[in-house]
Amino acid sequence: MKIIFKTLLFAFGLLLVQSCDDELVQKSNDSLSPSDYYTNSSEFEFATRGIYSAFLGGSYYGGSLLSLPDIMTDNVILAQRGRRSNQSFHEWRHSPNLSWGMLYSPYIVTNRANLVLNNIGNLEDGAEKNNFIGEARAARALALFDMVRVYSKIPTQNGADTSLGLPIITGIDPNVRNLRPNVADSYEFIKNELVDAKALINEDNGVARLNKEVVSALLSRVYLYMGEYQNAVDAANDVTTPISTFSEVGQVWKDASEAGVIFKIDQDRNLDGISIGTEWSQSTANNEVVPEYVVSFELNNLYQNTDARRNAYIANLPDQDGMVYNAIFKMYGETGQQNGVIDPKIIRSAEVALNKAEAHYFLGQEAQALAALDELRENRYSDYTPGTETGNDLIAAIQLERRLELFAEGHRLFDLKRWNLGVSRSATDGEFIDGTGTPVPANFLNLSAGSHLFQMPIPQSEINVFPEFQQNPGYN
Amino acid sequence: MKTKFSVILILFMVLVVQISFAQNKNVSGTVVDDMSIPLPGATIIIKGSSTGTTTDFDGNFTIEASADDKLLISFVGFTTQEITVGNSSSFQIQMKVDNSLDEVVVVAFGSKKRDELTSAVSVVSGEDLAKLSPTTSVDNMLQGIAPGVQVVAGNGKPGQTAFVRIRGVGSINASSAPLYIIDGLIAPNLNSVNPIDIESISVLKDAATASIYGARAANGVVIITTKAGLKNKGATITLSSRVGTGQMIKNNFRMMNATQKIQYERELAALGVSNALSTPGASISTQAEYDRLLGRETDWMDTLLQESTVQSNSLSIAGGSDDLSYFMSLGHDRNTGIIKDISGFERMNARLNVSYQAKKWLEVQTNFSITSTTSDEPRDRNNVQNPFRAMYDYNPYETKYEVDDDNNILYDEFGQPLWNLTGNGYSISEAIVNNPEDTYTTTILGGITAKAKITEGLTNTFKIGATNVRFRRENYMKPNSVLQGYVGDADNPGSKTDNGSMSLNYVITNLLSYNKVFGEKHDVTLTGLFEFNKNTSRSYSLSSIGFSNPDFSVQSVAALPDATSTSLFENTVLGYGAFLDYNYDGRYLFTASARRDMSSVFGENNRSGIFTSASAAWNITKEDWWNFDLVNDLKIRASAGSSGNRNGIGSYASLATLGFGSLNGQSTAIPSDNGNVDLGFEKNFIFDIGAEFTLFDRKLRGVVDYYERTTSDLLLNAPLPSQGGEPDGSIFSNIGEMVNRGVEIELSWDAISTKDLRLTLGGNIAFVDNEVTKLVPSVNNPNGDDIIRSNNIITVGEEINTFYLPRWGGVNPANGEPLFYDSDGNITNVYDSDANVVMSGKSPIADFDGGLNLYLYYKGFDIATDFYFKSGNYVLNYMESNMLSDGQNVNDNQRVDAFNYWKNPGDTNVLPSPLYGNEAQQNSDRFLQKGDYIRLRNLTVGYNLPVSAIDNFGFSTVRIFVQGQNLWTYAPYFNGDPEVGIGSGETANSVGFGNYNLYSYPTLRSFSIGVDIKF
Repeated sequence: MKIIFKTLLFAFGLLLVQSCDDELVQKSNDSLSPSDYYTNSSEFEFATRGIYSAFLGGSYYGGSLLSLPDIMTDNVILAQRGRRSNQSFHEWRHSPNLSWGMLYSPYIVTNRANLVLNNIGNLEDGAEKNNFIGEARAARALALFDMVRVYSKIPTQNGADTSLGLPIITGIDPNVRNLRPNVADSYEFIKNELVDAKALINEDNGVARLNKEVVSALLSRVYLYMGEYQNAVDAANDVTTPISTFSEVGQVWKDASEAGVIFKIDQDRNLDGISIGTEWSQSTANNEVVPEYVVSFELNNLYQNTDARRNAYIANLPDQDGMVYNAIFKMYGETGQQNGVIDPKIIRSAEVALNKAEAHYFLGQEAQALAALDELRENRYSDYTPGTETGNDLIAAIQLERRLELFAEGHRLFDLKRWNLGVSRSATDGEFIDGTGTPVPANFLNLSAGSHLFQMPIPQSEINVFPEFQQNPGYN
Repeated sequence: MKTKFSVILILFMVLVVQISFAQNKNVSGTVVDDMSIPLPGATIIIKGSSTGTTTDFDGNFTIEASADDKLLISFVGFTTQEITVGNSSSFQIQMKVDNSLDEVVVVAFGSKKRDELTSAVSVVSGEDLAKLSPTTSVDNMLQGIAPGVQVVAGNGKPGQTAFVRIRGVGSINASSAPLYIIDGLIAPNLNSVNPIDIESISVLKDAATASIYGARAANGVVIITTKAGLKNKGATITLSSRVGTGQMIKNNFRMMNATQKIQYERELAALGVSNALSTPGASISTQAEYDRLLGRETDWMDTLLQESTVQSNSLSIAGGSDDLSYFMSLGHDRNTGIIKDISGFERMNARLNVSYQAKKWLEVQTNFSITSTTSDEPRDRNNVQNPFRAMYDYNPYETKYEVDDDNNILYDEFGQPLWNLTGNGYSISEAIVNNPEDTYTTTILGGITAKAKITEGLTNTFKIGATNVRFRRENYMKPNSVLQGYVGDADNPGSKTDNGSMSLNYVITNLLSYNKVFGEKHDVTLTGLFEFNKNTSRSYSLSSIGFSNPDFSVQSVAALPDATSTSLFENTVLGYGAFLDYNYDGRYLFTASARRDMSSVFGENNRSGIFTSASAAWNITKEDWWNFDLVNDLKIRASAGSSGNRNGIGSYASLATLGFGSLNGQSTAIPSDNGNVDLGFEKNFIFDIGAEFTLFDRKLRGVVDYYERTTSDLLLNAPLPSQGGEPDGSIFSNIGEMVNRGVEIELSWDAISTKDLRLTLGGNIAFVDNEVTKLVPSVNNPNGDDIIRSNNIITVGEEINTFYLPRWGGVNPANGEPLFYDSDGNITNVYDSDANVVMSGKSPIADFDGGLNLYLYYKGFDIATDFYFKSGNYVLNYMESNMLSDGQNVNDNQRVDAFNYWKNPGDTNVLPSPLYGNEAQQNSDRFLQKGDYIRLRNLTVGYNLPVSAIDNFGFSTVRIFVQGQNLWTYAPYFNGDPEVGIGSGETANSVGFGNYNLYSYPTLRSFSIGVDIKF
């Protein structure tokens, strides 16, 4: 009897063991192993779209990169009744522990691009493959460019070339720990990647993707930053997208028109819902705003009444107590919306014209510079008459138009930086519509040209995990 | 899988052996107390079965038993007696007053007498719980009752579960919550059991008992046993009913009224504080304007809060026949909560426990319960959508509805009063009505157990159990609501989200156990275990926008679905174990266990863990040579062992994954994690020594324990530099180590024990000291890098989550300027956010906590009180910082003592001058306060109607009582409610709980009356 028991029990035990052992391997129901992916063109298509979605990170084109470069300058002023978001940047109190964490998202872009490039051998040679390579390489070039303009000097600054750039990552090891190369090497990589991508990429992938037009436009900006003016002009000349017209300006900022937009991240208002406009304000249905920052009174007065941008970029909106502001209207929302969900524009033909004008100017070609500037101005002013500026007046006009055109698109800080200018704010103007209100505190009126504060500190969290990683000068 | 199980069951049925049993006879007897007075209602059970009966009014009983049977006679307050039937058929049994060491304690897969235990187990009986409020979750009831079990209420929301930590915090990133077992089934939390169904709660604190549960037991085990019926006993019907009311506990501070607030605004404006310039108070220019504002005086607490209504009714029936016993119960609880216009919390329970002696050798048992809860959820976040923030922030001169210049309410075209959006731009009264959120949870726990006696001493127990939790949440933003204006889509007003989850956790357990007594004194039990557990969890979330009618919230009427998602997670655990119990003559006790667990959630290189334990105890007083009469019982014991923790780790945390998302409505493929093939269990090792004793004729009873608990291989996110592009920025790995050391003392003293008057005093205290000993090593810190969680730090050598803040240096008496310490420790007026220091010894963890209780009985009347105390934890009092905001929040109401700011040179003990409000309100330890408190948790006065008065109505017991909870609190250092659990429900808090207060649901003070009837 006992033997039967033991046998039965043993059999019983074995059965359970057998049946349950298989259950110890469980696979995810919503994700694959990366090693099983990147096998055909539709998977590369999805993976490439994944690269673009990484641009929408909140510290990147999903927010900070479009707002902080203006918040840190003379373009805006803090609204006292707001939530004081980003006040420490407005007041140049940033430090390694209180930094702009913009390394994460661009390196995610880089990683997604590198995964595509690492597996691209799975596709057959041809235009389709070349286009994927071109998009991935241009994306990682843009990502590195955005990081180096935030954390490093710009080549046109004194001593920039040998100062600290940022690591160039082309592999897929998540444990990689590269030290910082210099700025010259970083820009060399950016330039070469874009030049190579331009040869590989499709003529047209739509405005929501990188293509030859976008790469040319980006090159005009990169060359301008590098001080390679002839190359900047040449790249700009390859751009064919016309500048948005006077009547189209407002439509572009309601996402009702793509006129003059060369590259943007196309997001769905409901499905993606990245609210880039909340960097500036939140608002109620009856257009009362809770403003964070408003247009500085000085800049507000620079917009002529005949300027199409006056009403497209600025709106006189009250808060709930009836205090009225020169509120930033550029990212207010699509037509009829006030939720701040707008496609982030990464480069537009207006900028390319300004890049070209500036490059010509520095090449001493004032006539071409004026022509490029007028190309923009005739589409902005209802009372446009051809300009007559020369010399210092001409560069001042180009710089003014750049400030007016690219307001709240994340340019001002970098432009001042590469022009070797400081920031200078009004000591008397407040935040309300008539310039009354609370002025910027006295400590935060002037940031001298060349200050180390123009280069964001490497976040302490990066140094903590990689102590050899070099901090920017001035932050230790 | 399914077919294999049926094969198993058939095999199981084949294991049938016919064993002959002795002939039965009728045995009768009388049970009397120590003064020879008959005891009605005493229980007589045949040992090893569930056959039993109870004595009648005269203490008499009759039961069918065989000569070999042993009878167990028990009665509350008396020692359980065991007698062998033998040849007698009539017994006179005199009971002796209770001796706690004879108490039966439920442990892993069985039960033991207290004096047979070799490890630290705290027990709470059903009677203890019956004294507490039924609408609180059972975990809240454990507070201050079991030493070493620290319970922090989540908040005061009806139905809210608590944070339970047994012997300190055991993990950094995985869960530190204990394993809950209800009738052998893994339960998600303790909300799923009706307190009145509970027979006993055992808390397994050391590894010797807990390691039997292997990979789940690292944070201790709470075992709940529900009631069972007795065989051969007529039905006992118990009815319990209580009704009561509750309100927020009183604040130990006062908010300003309209007169004060207006004066405060004017004072600050006069000072030139820019925020105050445009306040209504400062803008007054005429007496009429002033009178108009004063005429709007509103007490926002009264406006937004109500007294809650609490009702609880339950019915249970228990009994049994020859071969069957049953316990069934129904319960209904309702607690409206204290927010006006929402209906609070409701819970319904049903339970059925049945045990059936299918064959002489086979007992089949089923436990089944279903619990359904509904809860109206107010927003618990730190903004104007939270009524508990609004009631402090809204100004006393702001009204609920819009008013005109004559303070008459304004109405819209439909005759509805217009909501006043207040200075916050929001009307919380409106939001409560127009943005409803409700949650519904149904929990089903069910299990079937078959216990077969295969031969003498050899028992096989097979069990299948499952826990099913269905959760559903609905959140509707009506198209006409104010919130819609802020966050809604203007083209498609209104938004609705339906989300929920369904989880199924099933466990198959087989225990083969062999017991034999060698040479009369060597009692050996050897048990083998097989266990398989699979957990499946599904969730969904659907939302739509565009609702044309505010009354319809089903999504079928919506214009545009805008987000949908479902998910599915599965994980498994497979375990084998062997356990040995050895008992020599009741004097020397020894246990050993080994268990191997494998789990699918860990990396393929590190999938299994082996957990072992050993323990020993010596009942010194059972030695023949023991003759010190003062000490009646004395046992010393020691145990050591290991267990594992896999709770709180994602099902696929070890895998490299590439997920899918969308951009502009088109698919994207996105790498989501690089995984870690070495990911394994967190390991826990506890060493414990303890003593249990009774003195002075067992009038003084006590338990003392010292333990050292080391948790190693703690799962930590080892952060990576951004440049690698790791999607979540870090690699989850087994790295850290932490030690908790502690002492626990529990004492109980029968000061008076006569028939008519009894007084028992009790108390317990548990000291715990936590120290982090290892973190992710780096070049600079070989012991490990600090983990900074905003204002808290995890650093080697300190308590977990020690506060990490710049230090406040007080107010400069010369000019009212705020002062801080710089990083070199010098006082300065320049604030430096980098001057954080590790505030050694200041963490959200208490140094000690415990309870004090008193029980007084006099001729049918009884009084029970429970106090809970806690000391040594620190809380960031953010609420105070908002209410004493140095003018920063002058737009919101402030505390009355905000007036106490610096005015003249030489002023001390004052707040900073509001002119420096911005500087003063920067993050520092200014509002870090010690959270010590003692609270009268419970006071109950009851009366048992005399038997003579109720016998005629057929009742056996009628008890009426009144009860008050949280009646009194003393917190010497903390302004506000010191019991801080969830700081802010919707604000991510990586520290867990207790580190700051931020307007979560306040603790309630309640009164109730009730009646319990048995017949």
